[in-house]
Amino acid sequence: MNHLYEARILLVDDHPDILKMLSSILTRRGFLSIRTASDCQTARKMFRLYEPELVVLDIMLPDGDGFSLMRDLRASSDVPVLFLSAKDQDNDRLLGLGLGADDYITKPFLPDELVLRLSAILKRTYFSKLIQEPESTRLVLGKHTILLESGTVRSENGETPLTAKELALLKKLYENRGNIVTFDALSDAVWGENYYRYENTLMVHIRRLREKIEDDPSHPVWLLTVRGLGYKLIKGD
Amino acid sequence: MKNLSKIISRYLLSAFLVLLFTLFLNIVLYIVLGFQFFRSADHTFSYSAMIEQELSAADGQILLSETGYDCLNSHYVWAMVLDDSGNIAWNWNLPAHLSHPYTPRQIAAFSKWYLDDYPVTERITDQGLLVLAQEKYTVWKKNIYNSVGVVTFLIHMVPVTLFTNLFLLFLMVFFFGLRFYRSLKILADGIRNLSEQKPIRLPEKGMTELLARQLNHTSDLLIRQREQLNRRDDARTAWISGVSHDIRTPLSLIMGYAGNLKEDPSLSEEQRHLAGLMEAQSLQIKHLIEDLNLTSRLEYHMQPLRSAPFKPSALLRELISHMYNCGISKDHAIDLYIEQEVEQMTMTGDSALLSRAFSNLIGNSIRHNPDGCTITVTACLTPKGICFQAADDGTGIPDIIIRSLTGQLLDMEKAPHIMGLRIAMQIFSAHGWEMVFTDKNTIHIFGDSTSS
Repeated sequence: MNHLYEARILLVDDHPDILKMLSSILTRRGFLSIRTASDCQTARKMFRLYEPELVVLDIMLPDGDGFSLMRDLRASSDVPVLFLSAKDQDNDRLLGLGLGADDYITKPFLPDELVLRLSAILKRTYFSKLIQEPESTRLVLGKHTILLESGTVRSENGETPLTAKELALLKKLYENRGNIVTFDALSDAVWGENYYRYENTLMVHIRRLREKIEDDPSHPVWLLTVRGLGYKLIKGD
Repeated sequence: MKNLSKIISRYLLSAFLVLLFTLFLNIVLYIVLGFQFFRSADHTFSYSAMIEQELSAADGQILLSETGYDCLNSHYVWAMVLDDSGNIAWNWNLPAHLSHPYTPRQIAAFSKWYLDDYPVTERITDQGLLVLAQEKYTVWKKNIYNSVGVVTFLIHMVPVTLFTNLFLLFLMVFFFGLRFYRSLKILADGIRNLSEQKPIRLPEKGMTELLARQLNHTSDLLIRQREQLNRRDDARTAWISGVSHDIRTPLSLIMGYAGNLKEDPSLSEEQRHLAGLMEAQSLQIKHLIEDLNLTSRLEYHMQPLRSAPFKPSALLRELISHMYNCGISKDHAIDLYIEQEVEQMTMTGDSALLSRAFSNLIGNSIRHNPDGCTITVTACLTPKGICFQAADDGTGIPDIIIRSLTGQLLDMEKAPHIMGLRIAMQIFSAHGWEMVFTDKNTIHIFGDSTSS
């Protein structure tokens, strides 16, 4: 498989209309190789013949259930599985994910959401090296370029090293760039679960980080404070 | 149980007071009767003394005045005076068989006992020994002799006996009270268990047999009613769950194809917009189904709480940040104020459900104030526990909705179909928390401090 859209996808659902619609959605979004099965027996047969690279599974099937089918499939392969079911109880969701499913979507669903989640699984499973492109470890904030791998900030004045905690904070903010990251999530990323009484220390680390990545640390434009909630790393142009 | 102890201690106190009152009554009765007795005894003594005074001697003859004879007629049947030799010196109505000289032995005998069954009283006068007889079988006569030691012992024994008896009586009252308490305790435990909806099977014996039988019967009835209610609730929840499950497949098709049409370049802009509307409305129906399922499960206690420790401050920050990150309009603002004490606090609860509840409260303010408003969420610690406040400066919640949610709306047909606030209320209630509508713009949530 050279590209995401070349992935062989097996859709298993007892409802022919749903299978038809899923095929239609995926085909329209560019996926090229799709097979369908409406019961466990056909699904097992298709699995052997077709060797899919991703299985979208319904739970309630006429001759068995999706959980058992997934156990059978996983016995011989590590194929990623996405559950797509009308069962919305937490127990079903937890059971599916607990068995090792890669995702669980409840019906009805947004076609775009299904495609995004499905693509994310495929990328994670088959294109993980592509995700870690060198470009993604470079963070450009105005005149400052942060090299996340080496933990340094490059600017007109030269290179400034980041401390381990500053780097951890920056990585967390970068993963959620454009979104507010709470004090708790940041403290958790730096100090782990027992992060109580670190609020002031966090402020100190943020101030030092600003001194390294902001032109004017007193009037930050990249790393902003959201009062009462946390911090936000502004998205670039 | 405190009530039962109170009842029993009151019973013991009452019994003790009744005992004291009876004792007091007895003492009073004995004093009155004794006084009466001594008064009557004194009369007998005074009659004989009067006759003695009315006796006189003239020319060797013994005489009795008229008053003396009147007294004799009234109180005695015969009388005589014996001289020092035992001969009869004077007599009045003396039966013939008693009219003879008396030896010292005979005199000593009748002075202690009776004379021919006549109770006689003797008085030593100047004229001789005056013997006065009353009607046979009217007076009990007995000379009592005893040592001073025995009499002293008897006098001392009176209070000892009295107090021993009192103590024994009190012990018996206490023993019966205890037995009564034990019987009642079983009943009280049974009633308490009933009030806590626990089934009971009390022993049907002893003095509380009838009451125990009736309580057992009541318990059986309550269990049966509860089972019926549970079956009905289960059926209702299963029905809602089944219907919502059945709706999901056709709704998936509508949403899926609407999503496809929305992206179809062969359609016009207007047609794609309409397809987008269909998709958005289908999503709305999906959320309604989820809310309906959740509210039904919460209503009938079928939603399991995944309780785990969580920080309320972190939960609120995460929720509000998520709302900002998902995008709220510029006209809306959510301010969060958390007291320092709450920052350190860890509570136990289903954080996903609680987050949903707070999200519903904030979402409700945003939805009903499309022109914008500022929502203020605060968390502070009170002596009773944690207190959250969600307030906005918008239009506020209509009175009919508050009355409907707080059960004050009598005509339920007029009740508005409000899901978000109801679910929030149910989630807080499932945690033992209380949601209070302070005014139309302010909601307070009081959490139990024991869960912290």
